[in-house]
Formats: sequence, C-alpha cells, structure tokens
Amino acid sequence: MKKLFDKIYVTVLCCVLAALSVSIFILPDKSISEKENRALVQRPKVTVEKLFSGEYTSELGNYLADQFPFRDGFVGLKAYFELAQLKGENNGVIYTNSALINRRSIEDVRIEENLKSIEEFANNTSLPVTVAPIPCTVDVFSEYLPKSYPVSIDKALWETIYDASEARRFSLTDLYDSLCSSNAYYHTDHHYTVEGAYIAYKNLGDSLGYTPYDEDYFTKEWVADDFCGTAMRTSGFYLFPKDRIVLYRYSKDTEYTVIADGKSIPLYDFDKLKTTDKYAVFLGGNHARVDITDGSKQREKLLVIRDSFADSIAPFLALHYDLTLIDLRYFTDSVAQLSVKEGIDKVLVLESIEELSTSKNLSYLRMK
Amino acid sequence: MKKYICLVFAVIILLSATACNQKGEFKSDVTCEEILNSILAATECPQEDKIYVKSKGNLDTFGLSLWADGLFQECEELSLLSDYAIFTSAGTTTYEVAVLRANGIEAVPKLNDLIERRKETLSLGDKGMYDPQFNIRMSNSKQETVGEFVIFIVTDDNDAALKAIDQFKE
Repeated sequence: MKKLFDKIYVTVLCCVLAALSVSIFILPDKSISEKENRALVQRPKVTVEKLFSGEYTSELGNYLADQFPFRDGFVGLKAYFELAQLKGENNGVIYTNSALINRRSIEDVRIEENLKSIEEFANNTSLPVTVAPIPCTVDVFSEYLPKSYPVSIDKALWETIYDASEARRFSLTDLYDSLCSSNAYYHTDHHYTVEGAYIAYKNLGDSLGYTPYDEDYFTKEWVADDFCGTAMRTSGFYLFPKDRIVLYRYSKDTEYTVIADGKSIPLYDFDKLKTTDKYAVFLGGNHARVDITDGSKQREKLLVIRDSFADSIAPFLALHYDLTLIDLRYFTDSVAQLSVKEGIDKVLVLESIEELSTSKNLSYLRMK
Repeated sequence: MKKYICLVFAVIILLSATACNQKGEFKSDVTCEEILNSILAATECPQEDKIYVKSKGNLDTFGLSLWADGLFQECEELSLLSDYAIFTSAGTTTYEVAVLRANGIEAVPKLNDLIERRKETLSLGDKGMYDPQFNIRMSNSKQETVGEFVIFIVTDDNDAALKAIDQFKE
C-alpha cells in the first residue's frame, strides 16, 4: 500500500514538474506584468559567445523567473503562507486589518544634503520656494501597525526634517497633522486619495498665496472600485479589499492644455482605469515634465518639483496657476535654467517624506 | 623530413594564434563625438536629449558626478578624461550612450569603475516605471573597452551599435 502511494506521489510530482517545465516554452511570453507594473524579461537569444561566457545561462535564469507559469498566483500564495506563519508582512508590506502598509525604507538618509540642494536652487533662482513633505501610509495608519513596529524611528524622521528646515531660504508647509488625521489614503496603495490631495491643496493655500475652493465646488465622480494599489501588487495580498477611486471634477478640468514630454495628453486618462495601475488615471502615469495651462497666459506660473503624489493634486493647483511639473527621477536637465527661461514665479517641492529624505535626485537642483 | 614539415606547420599555427590575439584599436585621430554620433545613427536613437561633448566643453566635475553618482560633488575622474561624448536622458528617452577616452591606458580601469557607478545610478529612480523597456535595455547593456576608450551602450539594438564602432578600428 505504501509502495503504491509512493509511486502515485512520485508520478504526480514528476508530471507537475514536467508540465510546468514544458509550459514555460509552449505558452506565449508575456511582455509586461500588469500586477508588478514592469516589463518582463523575454527569451534570450542563443549565441556561441553568450553560451561560452555564461551570459546565456544567466539571462535564461532571469527569463524563467519572469515567465514562470501562473507566476502571479504563486506570488500571492507565498504572501498568504507568510501570514499563516505569523510573519505579518511580505516583500516589505505590512498586513493590517485596515490597510496594506509599506514599511518605511530609510537607509541612507540624506535630509541635510537634499534641503541644501533645495536652498541652493532657491538662492540661484531668487524664487520663493515652498517645501511640503507628504506623509506616507506608515504615518497615516500608524495606529494599526503591530506593537513591535518601531514607530519612534518614523517620528524622528519628521523631527529631523522640521529641525533641518529652520532658518533656510525656503518655507516648510506642515501637512502631517491634517493628512494623518484625515486617513484619506488608499488602503492598498502608498498614495493619498483625491480627498487627501484636496486636504493638501487646502493647506497649501496660505503658503502659496491662493484662496482654495470649498469642497462644494467640486463634483465627486466615482470612477473605479477595484483599484489594486502598489502595496497590494508588491505584497501579493490579492484578497485584500480593493480601493475606490473618486475624482473631484469641475467644469474647467477638460479645458486645460496638458503637454507631457512633448505630447498632448488629457488631465485624466480614463483608459488607464482599464489597466491594473489605475492611479495612472491622473496625468497618464509617470512623465519627466508636464505642463498644464489654461491658454490665457495671464496667470502666475508654478513649478512643482514632485514625485507621483503631485499627480492627483495637479487638477486643484491648475485652478490657480499655469503648472510645470518636474519629476527629477527622469528629468535631469537644469531646472534653474528652465525656471529663468520660462518665467516661473513660484516653486513648490511636493514629495513624500521618504523621497525627500533619501532621494539622490534632488542634487540635480544644484545644476545651474 | 616529416618532422621538419610538422615543425614548420607548428610554428605557423603558433604565429597565427598570436596574431588572432590582438584586439583592434581605434584609429589615433578618431574622436569620442564621432563614435557617439555613429552609435546614435545606427541605433536610430530618439532625438537629442542631452549630450556632453568635449568640443563644447559642457561637462564639469559636478556634472560628471551627477551623471555617475547622482551627487553634487567634485568627480576626480574628469581629470582622467582626454575626450568624452555622453548621450544621456533629460527626460524623453531612457537611451544612454557614453564614449570615454582615458588620458592613458592606466586610467582605463578607473573609467570602467565610473561606468559601473553610472549603471548603479541609472538603476535607481524607477526608470522602469517611466519606460517599461528600460529594464530590458539595462539588462542587455554593453560595456566595451577598446584601447584607451571605454564605451557604454544602453539602446534597443546594441549589436548595431557595436558594428557601427568597427568602422573606426584600424
């Protein structure tokens, strides 16, 4: 009986392994992982040179890892196995009953250097500069974190930013209390919701010198209820309740001219709602440079040095300014020269606290 | 007699193998800018983003440090360059081509290190999310050393790039 069981077990196992191995080469290769929002490695070309140098086998390993059948399912399975082992997180995302929270990554903190870069930019351009660090989900949902999570380290980061910003040639707008008390963040993503973007917009009014519109001015439009954010896609916790996306619309928001990296795009790209990365509904995703104008040429020009948090606040700021949004992850030309050449009136540095603390890209602001 | 013939053939084979070992060097008067332009043409590179060339003198130590390390500080490797031509992204593409000429063969390993640092800097900043092809291009990137020249290529057709630079070899 035992021998029969062993035979069946080994046969089934061999069949499964053979089926998986053969299916890698039979099934068509996927070019993009929508869940992970990245391009997948394609089948490597065999050349004699690559074969003998070892490069081919290395490329083959990467190819097999990316094209493994039912990869997304296995990633999800692993995530829940981690939970079953009481680990509480997977791939740096902490699982709580309320939200999937990205663990803060604060290696190589360079707050002083980054604030110095911003100050140097302010000195070089003689423009008024406002810095607005945005809290992350680990700040907003801190009450749901496991008791063993080192909350004090995260709070210390904010204290460091406040202390390092004193007596600098820019003003710091503190959005921590208003955003953290609102809980207006997605539960499967690291961004704030449009409600959170509105709160940030309202609180920036004093610093930037505009009177924000009341919330009644906007019409709330529910455009998606199955948003799987970055935290879900990174972690594999695919069974977590998905998020809703609600836009704050107004009559003028279809009339702006929006140019992203030289191409005309809409303010809201509704085609992106059919993809996994629904956050790309705001400005169509990542761009090095986006210009939003109303065509009147009578408004002040606001330069926004930003990360992806600015995508959902842009429609609010566009009510008051012609905007130039620069993402220093991709735009590496002289922002100082751009500011002078294009007659920028004010500058807003709007980035997550993590980007502000650790990014090397802010060094590009020092290019004259 | 047979032994002498075999000996002659062995010497010929030995001399042939020695000749095969020599790598083609670039012609002495070729410039980095010429090599860069031929690579960009061969790979149908998107329109100019940002080019640093010695003829314009538009790269200082801070610019080189920003490119290589993403840091605003003095980069000592600038003094090791006798010529340079770098095509890099200012935001419309994720292509990258760098042609660096060392001011002596002993400086070549340091320029190779510089390229390694540039690769690390390039891999930061989620460029794969900006351009999904970027990660594939980076995994296929080529780094070639030809005499005093160090060439770094991140394009969609690196084989065409390598063929393009053959015309400059002796």
